[in-house]
Amino acid sequence: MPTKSADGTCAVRLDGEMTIYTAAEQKTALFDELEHCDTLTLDLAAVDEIDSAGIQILLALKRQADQTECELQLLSPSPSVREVMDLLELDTYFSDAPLESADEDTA
Amino acid sequence: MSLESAKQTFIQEAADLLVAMEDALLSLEESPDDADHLHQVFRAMHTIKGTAGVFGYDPVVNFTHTVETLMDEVRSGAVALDSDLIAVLFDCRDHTAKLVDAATDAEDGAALDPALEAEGDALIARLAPRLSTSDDAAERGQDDAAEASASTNGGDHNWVISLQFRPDALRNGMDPLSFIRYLQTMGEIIAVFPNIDTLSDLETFDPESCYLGFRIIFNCETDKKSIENVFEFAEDDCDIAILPPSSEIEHYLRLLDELSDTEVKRTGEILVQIGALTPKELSRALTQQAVEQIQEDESDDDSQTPDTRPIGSILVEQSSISEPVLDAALRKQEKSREKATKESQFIRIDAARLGHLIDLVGELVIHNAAMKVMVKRHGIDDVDEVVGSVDHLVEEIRDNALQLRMVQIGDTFSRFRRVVRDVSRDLDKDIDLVINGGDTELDKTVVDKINDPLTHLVRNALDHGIERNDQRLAKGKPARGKVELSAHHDSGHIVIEIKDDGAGLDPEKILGKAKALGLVRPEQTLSRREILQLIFEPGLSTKDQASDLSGRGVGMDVVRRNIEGLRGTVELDSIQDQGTTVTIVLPLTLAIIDGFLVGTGTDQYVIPLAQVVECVEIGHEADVERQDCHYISLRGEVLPYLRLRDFFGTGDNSRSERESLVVVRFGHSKAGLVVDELYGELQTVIKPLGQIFERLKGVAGATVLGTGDIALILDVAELTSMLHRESSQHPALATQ
Repeated sequence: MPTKSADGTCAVRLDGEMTIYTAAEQKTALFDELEHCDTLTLDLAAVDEIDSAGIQILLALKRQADQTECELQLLSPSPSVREVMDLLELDTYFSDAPLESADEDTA
Repeated sequence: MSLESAKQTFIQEAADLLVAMEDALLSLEESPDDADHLHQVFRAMHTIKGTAGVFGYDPVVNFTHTVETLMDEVRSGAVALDSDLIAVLFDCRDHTAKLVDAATDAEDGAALDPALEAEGDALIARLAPRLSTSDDAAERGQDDAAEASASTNGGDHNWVISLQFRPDALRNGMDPLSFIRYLQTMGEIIAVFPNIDTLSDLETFDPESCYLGFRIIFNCETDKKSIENVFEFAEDDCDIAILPPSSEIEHYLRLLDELSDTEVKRTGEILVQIGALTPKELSRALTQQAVEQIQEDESDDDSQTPDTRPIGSILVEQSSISEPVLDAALRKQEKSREKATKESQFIRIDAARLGHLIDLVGELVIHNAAMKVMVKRHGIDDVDEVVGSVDHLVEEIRDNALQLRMVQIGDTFSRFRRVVRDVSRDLDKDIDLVINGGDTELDKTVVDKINDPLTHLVRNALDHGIERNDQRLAKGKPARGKVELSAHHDSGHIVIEIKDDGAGLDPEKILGKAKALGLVRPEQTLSRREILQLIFEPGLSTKDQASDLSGRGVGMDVVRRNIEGLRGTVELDSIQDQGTTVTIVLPLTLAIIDGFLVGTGTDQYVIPLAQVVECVEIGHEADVERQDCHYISLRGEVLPYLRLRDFFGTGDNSRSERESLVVVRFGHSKAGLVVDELYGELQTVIKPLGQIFERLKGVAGATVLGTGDIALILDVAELTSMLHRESSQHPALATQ
């Protein structure tokens, strides 16, 4: 899980799956990251599978960010993330503007 | 229940409802705003429509539907109820009765009598201008189902589904998303609102536990059950609440309204029955209720009355149902409960069964008497006590069995409110009906037979009795006429009076007519009372012109025959320009009476005990004899009497040493019957004598005695009137 940090902004690029199998690990990493920055950007272009547990982490992370007055940005969701985001109409939940999807071949 | 008996129930129910509707309409004439009565009318039409629908009586359904629609609008205040409309509703009630008769009598598939159909169409045409939606009223009547589907606004099928997954859902391999994906295949997901509200503390966030909840607005034309089936596999890991679209709510409310209220059900059961609640939702709520109950018990041991939350409030909290539906269900439940309490107070019994019971009790009485005779004959003193208590019990059983058939005459009387209303309209008279003693009870079999004679007498009073308004005013009477129906008990009989304050009868006119018809010989002199009774002779009518209602010269004789058939009497008294009173006296029952057993020689006779005034021992010196009629001075009162021995021509002429005089009373007249022996009281089962003896004078029936002998039951009414008739022909004696 590569991370990069500058000016209080953290950028995290997630890859592989975001499922019940990776949830514990990802949750710890992401919540830790959120503590150290004002803005957290999550690049979801490389996430090839996401399930309810993954979505739940994103929702919890968003709530944590709101409580600690951090900013959480989701970037370029992969097609599988896109599908769930559409299904649950999560775009408006995470930001005011629709997220720009990642290109097909980026994944 | 077989179809035939269900049909009988329908006929009976419809009749009851129509009576209730008529009462309500009569009351509405007085106070048109009474909501209860409006509802009564609506309910009558609504229920008849519903039940007729079950049997496929389309003409009934179509007609009542239109009236129901109108009444619904009246109830909501959209249509004003005025006297004209009430008049039409009266006609609608009558028409419905005819339709029900026609439908239940008709062969399957037989077409409706065109005349009836035309009448119905005419009535609907009269109603049509009243209906605010008059243009489609007729169509709606034609096709109820189409109307129902049209009213459910097609666009509104939005279900609200609330899902809350339990913590172990993910670990159990559940993926909440898959359910939402599946829903997509069934219909359109309008909106989804995911939440993790159950995650109260982010510090303890366990990413492998599930905190997800969804609220989904889902557009789909399906029922609640099939939506619930989607989540069937998840039910252990997920709390589901499915709220119906508003159109469904209307649907549920309608179903609730139509639900039969014959049974008291639990709130939950009602809701499951109409489909507003699925069995699973109910069992969840019941579990919740039980859990709360336990918690309550644990937390508050002192509480004497553990207060459980009603299932309804748990259901609303679980979002299983919406409040309007719950409220309606609770109201329905309340109604059923009321009805159940009412029904448990009254049971409908086949009259034939009751009749059979009373026959059996009659046999019991006879055999009990036989047993008493045997015991006495064999002098078995040991059993005296037992016989005494059995005798007492039999008497109680007899009284109670007869009591079962007793009904109040009030219902019969109130039916005349409608007759009076209709007739006074037709005749353009203003007439009040006063009812007294409606709670007087008499045997149902008597009530059924008294209806026709009463109708005739009331119509007579309305038509001939009460004068036109201007005539009344000219005579110095109030313009509003009065007809009074009253009933009271008098010595084992019921006395019914029909009294009007109308023109009264002219004895001269009656006498003239009777002489013209040859009913009275020209030289005959009759008392005023006797002349008045001539009105009951066949062919006599004082009205010069026959009207629709009465006055054709047939009727009063039929009235008398009907009443005499019931072992009763009818008498008329009238004072010109002041009014007429017809008095009917009827025995309370036609089955079993308390009798007084007397004997002459070897024969035994029963006198109804209620008509016995006293018994006196007589010597030979007291009586005055002339022809075959006897008079006695009883404490200064002249009393005609007869010897039963002479009257029935039995036995030799040797008089017994000790004769007794039994004083009997009928109405206001008394008479004496001389007998040889007084045997005492006896429970008497009246057995009819059959047609051969129908014309026998002075005998009302027969009974079987304990010894197996037959005793004749004396017709006191006939005997006294016979004696008084004879006495009046000897005026010198009568005034002695």
